[in-house]
Amino acid sequence: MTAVLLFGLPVLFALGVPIAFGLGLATTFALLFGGSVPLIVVPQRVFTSLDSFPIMAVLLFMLAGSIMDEGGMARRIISFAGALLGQFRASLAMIAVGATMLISGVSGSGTADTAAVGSVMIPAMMKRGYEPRFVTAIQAAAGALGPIIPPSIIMVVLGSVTNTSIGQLFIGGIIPGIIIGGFLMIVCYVHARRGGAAYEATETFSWSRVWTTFWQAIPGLGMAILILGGILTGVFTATESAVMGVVYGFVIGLWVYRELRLSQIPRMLVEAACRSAIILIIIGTAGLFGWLVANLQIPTVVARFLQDHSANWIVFMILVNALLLLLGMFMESIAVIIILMPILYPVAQSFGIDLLHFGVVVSVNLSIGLVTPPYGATLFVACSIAKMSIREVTPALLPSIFVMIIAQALITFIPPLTTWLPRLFIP
Amino acid sequence: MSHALGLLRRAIQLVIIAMFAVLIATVFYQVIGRYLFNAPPSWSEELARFLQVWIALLASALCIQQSMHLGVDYLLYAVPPRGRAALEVLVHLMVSGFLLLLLVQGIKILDVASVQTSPAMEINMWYAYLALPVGAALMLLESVLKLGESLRALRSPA
Repeated sequence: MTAVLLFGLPVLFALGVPIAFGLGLATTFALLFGGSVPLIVVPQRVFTSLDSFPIMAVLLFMLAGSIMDEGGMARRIISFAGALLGQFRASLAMIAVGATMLISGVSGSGTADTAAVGSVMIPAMMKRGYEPRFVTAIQAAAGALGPIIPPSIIMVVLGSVTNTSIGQLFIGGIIPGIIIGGFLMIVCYVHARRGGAAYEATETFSWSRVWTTFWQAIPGLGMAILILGGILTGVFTATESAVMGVVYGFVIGLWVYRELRLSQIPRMLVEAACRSAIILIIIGTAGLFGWLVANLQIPTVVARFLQDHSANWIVFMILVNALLLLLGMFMESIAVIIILMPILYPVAQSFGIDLLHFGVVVSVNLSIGLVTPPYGATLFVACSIAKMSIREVTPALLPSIFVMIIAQALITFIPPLTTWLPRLFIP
Repeated sequence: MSHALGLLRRAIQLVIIAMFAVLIATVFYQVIGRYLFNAPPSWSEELARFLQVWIALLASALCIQQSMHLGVDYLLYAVPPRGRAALEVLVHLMVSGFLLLLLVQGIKILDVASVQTSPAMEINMWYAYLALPVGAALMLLESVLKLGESLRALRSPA
């Protein structure tokens, strides 16, 4: 039964079965071979996994992201980022990274951020003569910031699976997000040095332009402040802050910016529901898979293995990071969290690792998994906007992935980078 | 046939829109209720959770139609076109098999659910669990349609 469960999954994935159904199928096959458990657990576990209030933040943050995009906020934030960063070489790429960082403060999804910024910046960079592979790669990499800079769908799921504070995880992502954003801008700069005339700065810096664009972006940035502020002060839970963001965003889009029409809203609801359903179904079937994994006593075996083979917490963290980077290449991050975190959290605790630190490290690692081929959610989006194949873009991704792994090492071995800020706000 | 399908999909969309709107209103009311009226409603969270289960399963059917559920497609592109068509048939066949199981077991679970009452709203759990067989049936329908498409692709000489 264990063998069917664990070897069935990679085979199903390799054949091209969608992640959501592969998890369900592997569990079903294992149950059929095992024989003793009634199959009624299949719908029962799917229901239980979806019947969760914290998970609802997925649906609502997804909608907040599309309101941001269609309500005119994303465009104004991109202009503001342009005023700040237009003076540098490779300015358009830096703007893409900077705008993704700002927009990540509203949306919790890397794919939504990649779509919002990429649909504007990828064509702009191509038109200016930037190397298409680089353009696609840098936008895909910047998309990883979506679930690192709060809010974050990955952290919502992690917090709800492990019963730890989602708010603390969110705030723990701020410093890692800034580090990775900065590193990606360095990648842009280095790439531009041998790039030629196309990469020259787009405009000279002017305070008046910064001020005008900032003023216009305020209502949009206010959405980020409302969401983050509500969580920072403990006024809202993650799900509640998401709903406040949605309502605020509708008000700004409909009556302040007046770019949203009431007739657009039904379509936006359906689209957000569908984009969330992809994740929610994975949450449902991963919950089923994870339940059987736990039932087969696999966690005890894995935990003992990890404890026996890790001399200390540093070795354990290296093992975990390597394992998650590898899984992130082939698996949906949400599924990895649901299946592995109930196993890894107790082991981390036994090594005396701060669980908040561990949670942020895992979230950032799995966000990098959104970028790494062959299975990378933000990579899919960036490639489809740029009309390029993942195979073409892969070599251009290496510098970005390299700097993200350096950032990952920094936050893994310097715990205050992830724990200092959240403990300051939410003790 | 395709007309009926179009109507069905439109109906699914309308149900999703209505449920999502109620979900937003409910959670918003919960926050407002707690801070402005100092009286958090007891039923709001449960209602929102049940709506979420429904939305996830219904929207998932639309996702199958639009091929939005992602997987690793390296092998699909590595094999010759004919092998690719055969692989797609296999994938849709297996997904349909899982959904059929979810449908059958989802109907069975309704019996168990119908004797339970939800703690907050005190409604029959049948209404919440009904999302499973309904969602599974709609997903199965879309998946079988995809299976048909891939079978036609396999038979066609090109």
